[in-house]
Amino acid sequence: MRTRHLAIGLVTMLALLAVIGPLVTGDPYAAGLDGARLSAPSWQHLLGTDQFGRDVLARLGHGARLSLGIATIAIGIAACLGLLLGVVAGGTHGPVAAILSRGIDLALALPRVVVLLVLVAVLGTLGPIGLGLILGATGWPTIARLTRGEAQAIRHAPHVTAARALGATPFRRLMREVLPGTLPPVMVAATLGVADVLLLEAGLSFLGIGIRPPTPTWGGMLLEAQPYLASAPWLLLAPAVALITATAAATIGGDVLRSRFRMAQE
Amino acid sequence: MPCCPATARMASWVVRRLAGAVLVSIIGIAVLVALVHLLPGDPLTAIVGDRALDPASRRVMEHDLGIGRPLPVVLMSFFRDALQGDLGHSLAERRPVTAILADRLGPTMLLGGLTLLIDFTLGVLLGVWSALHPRTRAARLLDSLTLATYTVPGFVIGLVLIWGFAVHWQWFPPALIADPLLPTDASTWTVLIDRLKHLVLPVTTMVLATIAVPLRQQRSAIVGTMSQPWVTAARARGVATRRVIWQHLWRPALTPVISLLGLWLPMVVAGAVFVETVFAYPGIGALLANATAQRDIPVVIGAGVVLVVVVQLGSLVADVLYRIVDPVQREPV
Amino acid sequence: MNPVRSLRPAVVTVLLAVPTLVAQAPAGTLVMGLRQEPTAPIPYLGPPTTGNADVTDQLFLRLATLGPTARTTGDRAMVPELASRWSRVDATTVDFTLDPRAHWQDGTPVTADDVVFTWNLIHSPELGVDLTALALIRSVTATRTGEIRVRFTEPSSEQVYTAGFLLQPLPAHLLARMPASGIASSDFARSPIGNGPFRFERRVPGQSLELRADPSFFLGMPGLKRLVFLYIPSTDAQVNALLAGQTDVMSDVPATALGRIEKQGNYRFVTAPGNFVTYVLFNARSPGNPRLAHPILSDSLTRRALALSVDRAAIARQAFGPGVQTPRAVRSQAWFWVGGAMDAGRADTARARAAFRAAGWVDHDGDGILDRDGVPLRLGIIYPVQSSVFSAIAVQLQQMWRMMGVQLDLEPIDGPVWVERRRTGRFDIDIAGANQDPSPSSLAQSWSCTSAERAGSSNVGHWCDPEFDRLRDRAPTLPDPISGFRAAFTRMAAWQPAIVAAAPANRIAVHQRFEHVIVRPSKAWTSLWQWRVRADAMLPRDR
Repeated sequence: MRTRHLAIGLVTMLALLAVIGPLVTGDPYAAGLDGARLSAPSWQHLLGTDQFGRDVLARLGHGARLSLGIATIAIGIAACLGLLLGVVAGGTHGPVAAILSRGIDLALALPRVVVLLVLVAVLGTLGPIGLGLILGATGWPTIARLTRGEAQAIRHAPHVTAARALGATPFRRLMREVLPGTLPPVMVAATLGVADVLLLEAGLSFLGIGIRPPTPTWGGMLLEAQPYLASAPWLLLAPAVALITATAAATIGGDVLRSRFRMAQE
Repeated sequence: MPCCPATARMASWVVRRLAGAVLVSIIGIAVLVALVHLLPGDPLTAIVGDRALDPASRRVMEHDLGIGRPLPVVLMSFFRDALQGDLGHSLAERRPVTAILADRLGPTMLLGGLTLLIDFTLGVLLGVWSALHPRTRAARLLDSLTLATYTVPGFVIGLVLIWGFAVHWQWFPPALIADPLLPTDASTWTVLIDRLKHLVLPVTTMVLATIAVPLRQQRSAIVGTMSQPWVTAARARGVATRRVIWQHLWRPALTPVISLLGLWLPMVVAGAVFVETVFAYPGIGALLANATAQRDIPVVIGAGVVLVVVVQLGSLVADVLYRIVDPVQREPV
Repeated sequence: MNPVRSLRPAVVTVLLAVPTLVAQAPAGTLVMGLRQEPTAPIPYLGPPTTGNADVTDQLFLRLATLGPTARTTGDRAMVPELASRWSRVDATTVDFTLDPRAHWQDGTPVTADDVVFTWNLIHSPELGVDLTALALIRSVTATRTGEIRVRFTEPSSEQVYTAGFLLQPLPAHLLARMPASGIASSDFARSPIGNGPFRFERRVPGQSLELRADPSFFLGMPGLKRLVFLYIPSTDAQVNALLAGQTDVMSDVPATALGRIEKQGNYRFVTAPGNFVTYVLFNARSPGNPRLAHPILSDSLTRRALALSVDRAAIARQAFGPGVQTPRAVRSQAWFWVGGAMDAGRADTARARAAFRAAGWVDHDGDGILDRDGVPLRLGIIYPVQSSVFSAIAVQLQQMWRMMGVQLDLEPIDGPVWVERRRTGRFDIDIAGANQDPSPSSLAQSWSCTSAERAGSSNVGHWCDPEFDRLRDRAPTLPDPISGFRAAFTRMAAWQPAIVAAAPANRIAVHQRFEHVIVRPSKAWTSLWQWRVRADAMLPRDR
């Protein structure tokens, strides 16, 4: 199957970039001499240099580990929390579901920037893992809301009703019949979320709570490239292509997983 | 006299749901006020910036503005004033927050509404189309393009559009929502054209940056439903594909899109910060971001209240739509 | 002994000749983008943003304004505005005579009572006006003949500047009955009535503000019919609005946009000495405990070594492009009239290394970081994360110091948190920028022993050098104040409480159709009313 090969290829490429990249691409902090600032891609600097004369490829390679790591943690937590809360809120009936549903609405409504600023003020400076955790901890409501809607619809589907008639326990019904049905929209949201998280992480550094400079991250590189979009487009192109590749890998990977899952189900 | 029991049930459900939404809104606003109370940073930044301020002035100003009061007092006085429609005065502008919000709500609704409309008509239609024509070259192209415009940060799309259509060709203005030089007695028609011209680039940017989500959700839902046994059965019975789509696929496949619709409202109200920055568009998102950066506390809370209400509204609308679309949910459980 | 001398300067005749050139009716529109919203363009009452200040200067005049060189010393350096002349009663008293033609835009004449009222008003703690620069004024009163008598605590050659320029009168007849705390949210604040060349027309919150020429302006007919200010917070968006023809002028054009604007050909660049200076501030006191000296930075030899390690020229060019300066003292280009040798801003790593060694910093443990008595040379730097210029400076400082064995930890923080950290002194090093007042005497606000001891002052590094204070305070009292200021600058450079990163020029892009373009040092837009649009180059919006 071609898509599967493509997915495996992309994921392998990204993994290689994250694992080996930092070892082979040179020093991402080394500033060039005056002349080497904002220089276009060349044999010496395959992806050019940035406004401080630093090698863009080196920064991309070093950024891969952090950016992909943070994104994985954040998406993983957001998806798990969101799925769990959403399935219970939508797939069951009663006060717990009602309270959860309103709780999801509540969490959705709070401005994420304000929540993050307060969280960081309370928790202090965060490392990459901490950042992934709080991004995940503030990212679940969207997925929960999607899951809840889907679970509500599935709760009354024939196969779930049948399971109830067959005497399956509510927990078993929830996990075996409702949960799998809610996966497709969550998959789409989570895989598209990779791009969101990477950009959000960069946005956070604009609030002074993200990864500290000069440590490179893809999102940070994107935002820093903004003033040079006209004069040095390669500064933006490199992390943008990396970001698109990561999102594409995630979505294709999601499609593959889903089709395998469906086959296993049948 | 209710026409039928189903409608009565629906009405009573809507009332209960509405009460829940109001309750959650109140709790949400209280949590918001508490969070904003906890925000770190100098609360007078909006008024004095980083200018020096002798302690006596600082004390007087903080007292005047009610800064440094304990949280319960803050909450009490906030709700007491809010009940009378008073959300306080902006620190930076000294205007009522309600007036500032009123100024911003219109542009936001316009930008958000148009984006919403296009995303959920064009996006959903394209989603259906690409689900029915998988593996064609056009579908793949659409897929890659929307994925790319979704992944690339919105400000890049905005800047590229500005360079092309505002700076190079000068077809559309690059900033603001209205021409301030327009004479005050300009005809309605001129004003309308002017507003539309200002909207084209921001709306296009927003749509390009978001349309991948409804498109993919819709396609994934259709693909998922198509593999259901009852659809296969219908097709086996010889029902024409077009009829299968309209009769069997459409409704169940709408669920995720409806959920998304509920989520989209807050997204377009608050999430358009980048577009508002690039296009100097005076919306709620930029207001909230700017007020947060300045610690203009009453404005942060005011914009947050709008957000809380909009989210509740979106959620409510979505839940009502679920019931309408999915007949099974209306059956007694 | 002190005969009343009339001090009407000779420059006046030159400038008064200008209005006869623009005697025809105002024509044309100038559109300007502002990075900060002009929420309340009124002296002392609105938030002190450049957005408010730029509009305020079109609406409200001063008793006297700066001359072409922007010099502040000497009674003759200043140019009449609301006051037609001033005369010295004695060494500590100056009488200002108001121009009888000066009037508020509602027709009421500007009187001495307005000035006295304003002087009293700005002492209300509710307004939080920083009065340091006015500290030498003892009293402001109206004489029986309607003159304004300003008494000073001591002799100074800057008295006319202090009273004439730093006091911006407000209309007493409109404000006197209001409580001070209520003025900022009054009708007057929403629709101010000034005495300048332009009158307030309307403001669309969040979008724009429009001023119209006042044909009855007493100093002459404004050349432009209207000024429109657009609120465009992002610099990129400002550049785009300019390139698309939506705006006519843009100040402080970033270096990254120069090429694009030049290539487009509709604009020319006018450069004026800017009043902005950005510097890297050392904290003299221990972070979080202002009673203790900073364990590392209170040592002047270490500060010197840190400064010598920095290639300020590279940082300045990277941040501001051509035309930027790297003085050793904290002085913007607006003080160019003080003169003095400029510094190339190059690093001197050999001398820096020697200075580190002399201060006792050696890499004993071989980890690449210098240390002394077991303490590594490791410092933190705070700066507002929203500023891309400050971020760039921080990253480069880190690179440059790392090569010298100094570890710098970057702490980009949210603006209001930065303000709070500065205010409470919780930092080692801070990057700050200042829009400096026209007089070097204003250095007392942030760099004096008095301000170091006063809580809440802008001397957040708690710097105190009695010798610098003496030189700076003495300068305006000397027969040659300029060389006095120069001596103070030299002292500050040696003292090294901060490293000046850059003093940029104010580079302004102006649409080609404007003529008689006058841009002032220090206060760029105070002569905007004399600009005109070439009759043969009018755009639709000019008509």
